[in-house]
Amino acid sequence: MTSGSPANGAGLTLRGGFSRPDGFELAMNLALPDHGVSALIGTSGSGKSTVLRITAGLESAPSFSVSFNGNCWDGVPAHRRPVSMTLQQPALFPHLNVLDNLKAVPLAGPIEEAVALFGLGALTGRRPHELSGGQQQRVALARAFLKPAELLLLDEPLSALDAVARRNLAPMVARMCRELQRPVVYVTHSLPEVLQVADHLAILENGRVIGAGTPEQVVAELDHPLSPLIDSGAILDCEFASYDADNDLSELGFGGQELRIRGDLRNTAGPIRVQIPARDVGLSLERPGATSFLNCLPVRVQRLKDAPDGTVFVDLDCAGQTLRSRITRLSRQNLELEPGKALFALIKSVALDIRI
Amino acid sequence: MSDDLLTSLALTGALAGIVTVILMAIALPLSWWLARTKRRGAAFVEALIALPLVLPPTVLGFYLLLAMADEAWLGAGWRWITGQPLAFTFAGLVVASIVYSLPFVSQPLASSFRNTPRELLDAASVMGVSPTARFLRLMLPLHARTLAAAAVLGFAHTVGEFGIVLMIGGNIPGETRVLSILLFDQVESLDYASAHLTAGILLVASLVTLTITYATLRPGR
Repeated sequence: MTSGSPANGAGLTLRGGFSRPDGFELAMNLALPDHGVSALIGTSGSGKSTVLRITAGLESAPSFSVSFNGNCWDGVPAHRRPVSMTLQQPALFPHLNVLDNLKAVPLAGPIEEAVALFGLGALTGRRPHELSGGQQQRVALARAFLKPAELLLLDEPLSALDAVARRNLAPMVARMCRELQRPVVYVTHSLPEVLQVADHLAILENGRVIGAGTPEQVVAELDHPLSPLIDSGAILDCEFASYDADNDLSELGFGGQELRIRGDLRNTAGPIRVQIPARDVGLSLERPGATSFLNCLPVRVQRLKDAPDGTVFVDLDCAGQTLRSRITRLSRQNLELEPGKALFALIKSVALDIRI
Repeated sequence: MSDDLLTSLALTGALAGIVTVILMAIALPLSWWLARTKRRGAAFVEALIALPLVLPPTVLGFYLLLAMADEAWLGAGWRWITGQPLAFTFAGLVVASIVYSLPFVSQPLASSFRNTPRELLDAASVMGVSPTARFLRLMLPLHARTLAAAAVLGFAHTVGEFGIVLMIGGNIPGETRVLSILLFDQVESLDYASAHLTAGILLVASLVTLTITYATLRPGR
């Protein structure tokens, strides 16, 4: 599947296919833009890391071609490619302290800047074995940041970390992605991890791209109710409004409507994307009185679509954005749903949590 | 200490020192290649290098002696370059010592190189470090302890060899009479007092060297 493919060959193009003796197969024709963050999402074994390693030149595959901004990289050894990359493991050199690990990058940029950006000031003299997993990963990110490169590849930068370290590091990765001013390809198995930073998504399953585009498009178009990765549904683009500390709820605004979701989002910069799985959206003809649903949004039916498993997807216009509900056929009959009908969408706040 | 002993001590030290330097220069790239290559021929090369570990020194000494003869390829080649003979000379001892000490240096190096974590090699590549710079600037310091241990083993084994030295070096004072040969002489002539000193020096020096080597190689340091 190709999407957002620029005519002039700008961006990263991955094209071709192969199969390995262990049964692994890869076949794709994917173009990623030459700016912003492109997230490659897939389960383990989907081929996402393999694609990244081939892009970096760490693995070679016959009949698979990588080109960037019109330049073919096939046959170019890894150390000559203008890419920077973090591996799944921090992979710091154990005999070097933090500063020397950073200095080991040829033609490194300003090291003080990287040390400050990744909060490594107090750690420069330490050896890797004296650092926590999160600290090691920060050094690895700083090392990738230092290499002058045209493209940054992040291979599951947070997955080797525990939950606490992950939440600490996530904003740093997001800031790095924004400040680099170079295209980033971010590989992960978790949509929430990249939802706030990704400009572009590609979903991989069994070595194939099953969806690509903006996050809003991909989540809306993914009609696989059983996709193990992403619940079909919608993404609402919101702004932070206020935080209710007593109940640990953040109130977000969009198009004059409000949405309450879990967690303290006061420090989230810029617009906030909230993924709302279709199965968590209920429908009601009237605004309910006393209810545990904290979110009750006036909506209008756009279209109805039968899902392969016998349920019904209902696309809803909600203050100019699209929301999606998944209901039974019986509910469709009971509510007499048809395009243009006005009703209320009910969403539990506990179902909404954008924290990684 | 007798003049004989001092001469042999200096000769042994010079031989082992020179051999160790040359061995490291050969074994480092060779071991890296052996650790990394996927070629089938590598197994044969490894077997060839390891022969001194299993063959009686006299077998190796016999073939080296034949090769170093003036009319044989090695001896003739050497004479063509230097104008000197190779058999029964110090240079001949150096050549022979390199052959029989090589596995003691290359095997620990290759096994250490093989254990280099894959992700460190990958990290160096994506950092933009060329394979040569990766080997010289990152891998050699990373394996510094093994390098030191391998050099010490090469040195110590060169000091300790007897059979091959006797066959291709003979027993020429100041040229080929190293400590192990001197000890043999002293015992043959029933000079047990001198033999005690020579044997004691070799024993203590070897024990100290090996202790330092194994202490360096112990994990968790």
